[in-house]
Amino acid sequence: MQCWICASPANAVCRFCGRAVCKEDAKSHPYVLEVYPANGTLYGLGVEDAVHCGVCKPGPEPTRMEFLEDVTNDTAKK
Amino acid sequence: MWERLGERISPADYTPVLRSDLTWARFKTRHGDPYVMLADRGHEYITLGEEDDFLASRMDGTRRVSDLVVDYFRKFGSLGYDRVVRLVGELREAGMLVDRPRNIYERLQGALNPPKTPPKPRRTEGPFLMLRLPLKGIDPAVTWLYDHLGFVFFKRPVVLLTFVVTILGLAAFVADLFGGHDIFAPLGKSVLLGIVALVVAYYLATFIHESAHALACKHFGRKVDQGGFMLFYLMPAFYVDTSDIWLEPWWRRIAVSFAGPYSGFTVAGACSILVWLFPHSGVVGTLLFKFAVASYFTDALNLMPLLPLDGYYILMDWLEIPQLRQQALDFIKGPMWRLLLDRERFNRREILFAVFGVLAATYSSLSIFLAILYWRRRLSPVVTPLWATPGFWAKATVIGVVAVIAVPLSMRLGRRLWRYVKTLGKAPAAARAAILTIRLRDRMRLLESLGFLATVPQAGLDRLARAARVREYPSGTNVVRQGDRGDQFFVIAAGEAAVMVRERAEDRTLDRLGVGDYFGERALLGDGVRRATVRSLTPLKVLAFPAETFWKELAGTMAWEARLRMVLGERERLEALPIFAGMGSRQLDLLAVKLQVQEVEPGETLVRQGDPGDTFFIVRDGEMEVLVSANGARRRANLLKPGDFFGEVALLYDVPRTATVRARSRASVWRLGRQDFRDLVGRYMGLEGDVAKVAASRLRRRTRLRSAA
Repeated sequence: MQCWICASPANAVCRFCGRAVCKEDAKSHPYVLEVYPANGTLYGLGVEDAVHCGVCKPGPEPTRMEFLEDVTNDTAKK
Repeated sequence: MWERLGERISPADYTPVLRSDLTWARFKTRHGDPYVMLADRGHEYITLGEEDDFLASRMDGTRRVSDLVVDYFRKFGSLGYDRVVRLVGELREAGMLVDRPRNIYERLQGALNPPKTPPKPRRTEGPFLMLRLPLKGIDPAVTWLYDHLGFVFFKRPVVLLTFVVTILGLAAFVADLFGGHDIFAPLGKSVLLGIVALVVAYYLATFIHESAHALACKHFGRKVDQGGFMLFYLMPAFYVDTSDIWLEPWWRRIAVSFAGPYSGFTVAGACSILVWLFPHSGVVGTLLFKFAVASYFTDALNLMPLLPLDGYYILMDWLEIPQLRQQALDFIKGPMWRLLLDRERFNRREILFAVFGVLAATYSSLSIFLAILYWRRRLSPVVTPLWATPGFWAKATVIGVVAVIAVPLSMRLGRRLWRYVKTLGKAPAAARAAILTIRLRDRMRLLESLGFLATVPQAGLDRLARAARVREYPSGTNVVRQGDRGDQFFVIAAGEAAVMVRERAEDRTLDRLGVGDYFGERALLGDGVRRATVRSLTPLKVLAFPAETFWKELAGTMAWEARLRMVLGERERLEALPIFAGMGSRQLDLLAVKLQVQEVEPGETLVRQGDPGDTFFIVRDGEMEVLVSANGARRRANLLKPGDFFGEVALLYDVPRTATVRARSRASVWRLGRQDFRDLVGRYMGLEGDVAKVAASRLRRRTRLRSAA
């Protein structure tokens, strides 16, 4: 696989989008591995320097996805 | 579901909503240009020009970013992608939109990497040289003071009276000085008491000065939320926060700035007149004279525009250049040197920034030493007699004063001076690095301007810029020769050259190259043999890239050479169109990649009335006629020529075409599909560098503190 940016041999895959990147072009970005509720609040496991291609833009804020409720309901009915 | 998810995440579909509690104030500059001051009162004040006002007024929750781009296009006739994106970003960052920025990754980073020692709660605000001890919520007190007393000073007869007193007082003060009055005269027979009286007079003068600012602000109906004590460049001072006056026209802002010094001059004038009238009034006369001196000193200093005091605010409001000091200091740190090295002419604003910035920086540095002298002068008359006084308590007091004031100040100043010394020690290396940086910046600027390098990452460009060799050629020199083996790629940094091909023993000029053009890549991509000669037409300066560097950094990019060349050509054509006026080269590069060219044969119909549309068209070549059918009859409504456009509504909605567009001659158009239009919004949001750069120069105005030092 080749680096998305410079076409040299790739060393890693972006944790967010799957693009391949070489060591020189790889960036780092915090990443949430797992989130779980406990004691009435949310806890999580994070990685401070997950591989990021620098091309994709992980949304910096949670997005409302209420439309998924329709999908979930339809699936449940089936 | 994926479609809806895409819509939800896409920046093009983000709906910015301005907070309803913001204050709008519409003004005109002295030159008659309209502008708006948008305020989150007490926190942020942002100036918006006419176009930004148009956009911000529409951020009411009914329009998405893409709607705003189209609205802007319809109103001003150009695709204001970057303007919309930038404005939305800035307003959000300033907390003026309903949904405030919450960057989860930034917070996650903070949680994973917590600071080693939690920050201590501070009672003070601001940097060391502008340390403040704030007193918040003083507006009701200021209002009460204005309602019960302050309003009198703004009545016409009183203003006239104070003016007369100010003028006569100044004359009386000069007479007092020549009459033998001494600033440091003892009070009664005590020198120490005389000094203490001068210090008290100084604080009284600054208090009156600040009160005048606050009352003037109140007179114009604005809030004064905060006041307090501060150390301004180590000089003790009072201050009031009159930021709310940004919501008034420039002349009122100047009036508030001037009120402080004016009140001081008036009171000092009154004192001087009394001293002049009663020259032998003993202790009272001495006190009044000391007060006059303290007031004149304080207020004259405040009118000096090189520190952010009243004189500076007056100058800034008069010139209507917000953040004048910051902009000027930024200018002399970098851009000024670049212009000097490039031997470019300064425009009027740049000359102003250069002069003001140099003077302000010099004075700011000097003021630290002036402050040391000030404290020495203040403390030694108090400390010396006290130390000479017999008894334990006098000496203990001296030690206490020195411990409380001199030691912490010396330590902090010592640290600061140590940093300066270290910086000076590194100066030669820093200077060399600065020169290199500047040169490197120029190289980067040149490389960034090459459209075909747009896809090369910044790090690659940086490496490329560092690896470049600068070569100079006199006029008439062959830089590369047809048939030679080529091992370098060139970018023209200065001068002009001609590309020539030898055919049948004759040279034929194919092209003329100028600054920013490049050559030599063909030989590198092909068989390594130059296919043309490039000859300098003027003295020529080029950046030369060795083959090894070229292959390492650009091989991947050159694989798309044909496409990139086409993009480059198209870009030049696009740049000339009014619809893209004001777009930067990077924005245009992005757009050029998205616009597709479609050839149209004579008589061919491009869009048909009634059909659904999702594409926007700009005429590239030829002529196209717009035909409208109504009541069974078809008529020609318009004739479109290169640069004309149609179908912008289709970028937003599925609306049927309202007319048929047909090629009248052989023609071509640029097409921009709805999805590409939406992608572009996102990609413009990716130009963080540009956004940050513009945000820095944007007319954002934060708190405006009045301090009398």
